Amino acid sequence: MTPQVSKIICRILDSERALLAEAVTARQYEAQPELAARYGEMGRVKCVQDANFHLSYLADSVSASSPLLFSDYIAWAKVMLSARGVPATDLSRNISIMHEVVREKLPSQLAAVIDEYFEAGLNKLPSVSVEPSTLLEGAGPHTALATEFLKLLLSGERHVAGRLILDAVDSGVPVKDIYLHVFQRSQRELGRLWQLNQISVAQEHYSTAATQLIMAQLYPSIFRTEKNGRKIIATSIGGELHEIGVRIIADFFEMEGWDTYYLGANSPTAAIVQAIADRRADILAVSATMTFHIRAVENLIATVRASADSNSVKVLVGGYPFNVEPELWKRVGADGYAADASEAIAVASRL
Amino acid sequence: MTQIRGENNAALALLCDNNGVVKQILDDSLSAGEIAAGQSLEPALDQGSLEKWRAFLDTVLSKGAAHGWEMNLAVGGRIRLFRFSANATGDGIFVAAATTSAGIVKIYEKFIHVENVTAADSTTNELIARPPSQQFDGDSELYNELARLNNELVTAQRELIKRNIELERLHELKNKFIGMAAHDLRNPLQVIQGYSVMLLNKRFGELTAEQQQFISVIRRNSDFMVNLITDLLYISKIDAGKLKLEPKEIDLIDLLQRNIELNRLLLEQKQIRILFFAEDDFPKVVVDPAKIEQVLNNLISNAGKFSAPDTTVEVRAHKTDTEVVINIKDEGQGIPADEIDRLFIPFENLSVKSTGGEQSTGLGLAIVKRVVEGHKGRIWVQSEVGVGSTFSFSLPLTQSPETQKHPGSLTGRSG
Repeated sequence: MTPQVSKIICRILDSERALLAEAVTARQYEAQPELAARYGEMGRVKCVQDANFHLSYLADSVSASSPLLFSDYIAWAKVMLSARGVPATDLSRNISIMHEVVREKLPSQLAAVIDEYFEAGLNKLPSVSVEPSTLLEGAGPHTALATEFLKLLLSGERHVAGRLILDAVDSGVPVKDIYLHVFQRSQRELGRLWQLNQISVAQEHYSTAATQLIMAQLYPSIFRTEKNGRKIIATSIGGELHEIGVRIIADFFEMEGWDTYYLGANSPTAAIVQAIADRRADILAVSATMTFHIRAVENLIATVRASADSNSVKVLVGGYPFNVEPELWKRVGADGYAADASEAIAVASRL
Repeated sequence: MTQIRGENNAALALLCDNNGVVKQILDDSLSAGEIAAGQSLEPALDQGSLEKWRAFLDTVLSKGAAHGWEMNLAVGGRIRLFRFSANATGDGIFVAAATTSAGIVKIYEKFIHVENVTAADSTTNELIARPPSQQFDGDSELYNELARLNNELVTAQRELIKRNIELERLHELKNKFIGMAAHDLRNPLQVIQGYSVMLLNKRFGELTAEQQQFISVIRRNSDFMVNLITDLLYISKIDAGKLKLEPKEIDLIDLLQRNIELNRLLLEQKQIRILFFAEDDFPKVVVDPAKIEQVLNNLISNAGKFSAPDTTVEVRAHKTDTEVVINIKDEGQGIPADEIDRLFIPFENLSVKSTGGEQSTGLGLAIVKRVVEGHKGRIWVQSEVGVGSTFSFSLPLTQSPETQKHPGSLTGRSG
């Protein structure tokens, strides 16, 4: 598939998404009249909403030329929907119908292109367990601490959770260990619990917000590290809410003696380019968690490269879609990719 | 009547007839009295919500249920936005209202079986089956907005802490730099000072009147520069936390008397009298005598500097249960009220000028304040233009736990 082809398909998927979602839902309800009784009127609304999401992920996966991204998303959706009373058979049917509807919509010479995406998704479905196991078990370091930390957050006890972390640091647990084995793991576990419908959005947001504030309590020690003269700007893309990962990356660089500028998730591209020029940054670290932000990453990198003020910076990318699709970082035009904070330091030092 | 409370949710659960007349109140945590059995709910609704309420009832009757309608209830003297859900029960309508969608679900969970509310319609099943937080998209967008807000706050906090630590570093660097520069300046200045003294003492022969005058200028100015550098070094040492107190138990009255005698000679040259009054049985104090002497010297000589001839400077010492207080009162020109706060800030340019052309390094009072506060004491000024000024400082009688924990470090940064 040439970039031109994927662009055309994406444009069609984006502009026709609402109509396609309605059509998929209508055809599925027609084929399975029992759904109306099972899920009710609200269920139908949700079905259209979900179809919109699936189509949006499809467009992003096509844009990234990655059937893998789409199949990984469908696997995630299976777990999420199953926990909310939608069986895998309904999802599978929905994806098959979507395949038909999208195929009919695309010009005939392009229709075959999307086959591998739907096939990858449908093929993966049967092997996906609807109950992914907890990330807080096993022999990993500080498992007990991470478990206790998350338990406190889920009970709304952020002060006690904060004390727990500060005490652990006082008793000699390295801050980097806390970041990787407590903050990062408990965040991933939170995502799993939400996916399984075991916690509410409120609990998820509260726990994340509290974790960020507890991280801030560790800043005074992090920022006293002797500097090595190198500078990095870290940002996450397009209003991305999932930004703890890149925050962890920024703090790791700070702990390694880099001068770090964390721009958050809402910095306009122009501000990022300006910051690179003003700070004379060596590295720009960009994170994306949602697949629908890949295109924004690509655009940001293109803009940074196009400006004489910022084009000497090396760009490092990371985040969920880059972990799923190993070649994606090259396609978005980055200079490097890292799966975690330690790897990010190693890669950035080489660039 | 049962009550559903929690999470600050005001909740209302009613059984109504098909016209919206309340048949039975199942729950009314508002307890506002506006809602009563046998009456329509309409009086409790805000005027603007009446039409919506009627449409809501129509929807329930035609579709069997309605969910997520927002209407204003005017209860307890205020208007509040409520979410409404309702189900047709066969012979009437079950109505639930709460300020949050989670509140609605709680009502349903409580009454759906007990009150024989038919849950046959699928939207109600949907409502109960979904976790509260996923009820309405509006809620979830608000959660996202809160998350963004928090992200921005934490990012700002990160930047602040980072900047703060950088500023601390710069401050230390500045002190170190001043220390080094001052040190390197002081040595050659002392050589100039020394030679000018030798010249004035005629060690190298007689001087003409003009030579004498010029060398006096060199001497006076090199003296001033040495004093300035000494003060700079001193204050940067204090700010770097490197100046240590060496506390001893002393008789403060002795120290005061000695210092007053030394200053008396200088003051008398300007025809200024100095008087000293002290309470009897004055307790001993634990202070660093050399540094307190410096404080006294500065305050008493200042009193002289800014007073006209034929005036009096009074030094008084008294005690309270917890501290000793020293007042130095002059009959000088006084300090304008808007300048009092700036007195203790280094190099502040004030309107008050010395009466005999005496020079001032601009650091004396800043040092005095740091030394007094380093002893856990206080310093303050009362002044009236044209009448005079009283500088007072106190020293605690017992050492505070803080002083005992960190004996003798002067780290005052204020002023």
